[in-house]
Amino acid sequence: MKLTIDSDVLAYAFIEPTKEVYKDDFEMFKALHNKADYLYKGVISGVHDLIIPSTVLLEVAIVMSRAVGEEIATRVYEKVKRQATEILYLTEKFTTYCMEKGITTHLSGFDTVVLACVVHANSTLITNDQSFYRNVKKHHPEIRAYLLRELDVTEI
Amino acid sequence: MSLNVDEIEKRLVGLDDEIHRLLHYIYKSKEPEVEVELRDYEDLKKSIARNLKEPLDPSTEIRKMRDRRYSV
Repeated sequence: MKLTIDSDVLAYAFIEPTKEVYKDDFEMFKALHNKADYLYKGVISGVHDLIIPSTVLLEVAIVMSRAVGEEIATRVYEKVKRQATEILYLTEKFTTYCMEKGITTHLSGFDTVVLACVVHANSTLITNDQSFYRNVKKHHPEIRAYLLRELDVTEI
Repeated sequence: MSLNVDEIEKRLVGLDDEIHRLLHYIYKSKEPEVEVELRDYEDLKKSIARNLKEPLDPSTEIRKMRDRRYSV
């Protein structure tokens, strides 16, 4: 299956929570990690094709760098880049395509880029961002989109 | 040309070692890329878990970035 996995979900995959750090929230984050991990292992194994815009690569790297430093963030960036079947870079053509989607949905900049990637690739969106998910469902009910926290990964 | 049994045995043992090394090399070089990538992924997760000192909520952090709530 062609998947566009949003930046937060990719970060959940790489961050395996510990009780020491997450304390009372451990179970909740562990459940999210397990689902994201399952999906990402499906990408590595070739069960799923990962199709993402380059902005997702940037966001994952930046959020990881803030948490665990530049070296690990670079490794995560390289790994996701290597595993992706297709990366949509912000060329003039793709930017115009994103703009066309953005002016009808009024989403924020990078939300629009992710949405445009999903529409362009006819892929399935997996995000854990409630507001983004709601907006996608509102403006594009035809898109196959799932919220990670509500997702039964065996459906994918 | 005549070869004695000892000489033949010695050569066969040498050949056997060569074949064994060759087969080992082929096996290692053909080790599925997926397994290597999965191991690398697990290693990377362990490194992240070791280095993560504060809880990180990716959805919240990414939302902040997209809404430009970070100061520079």
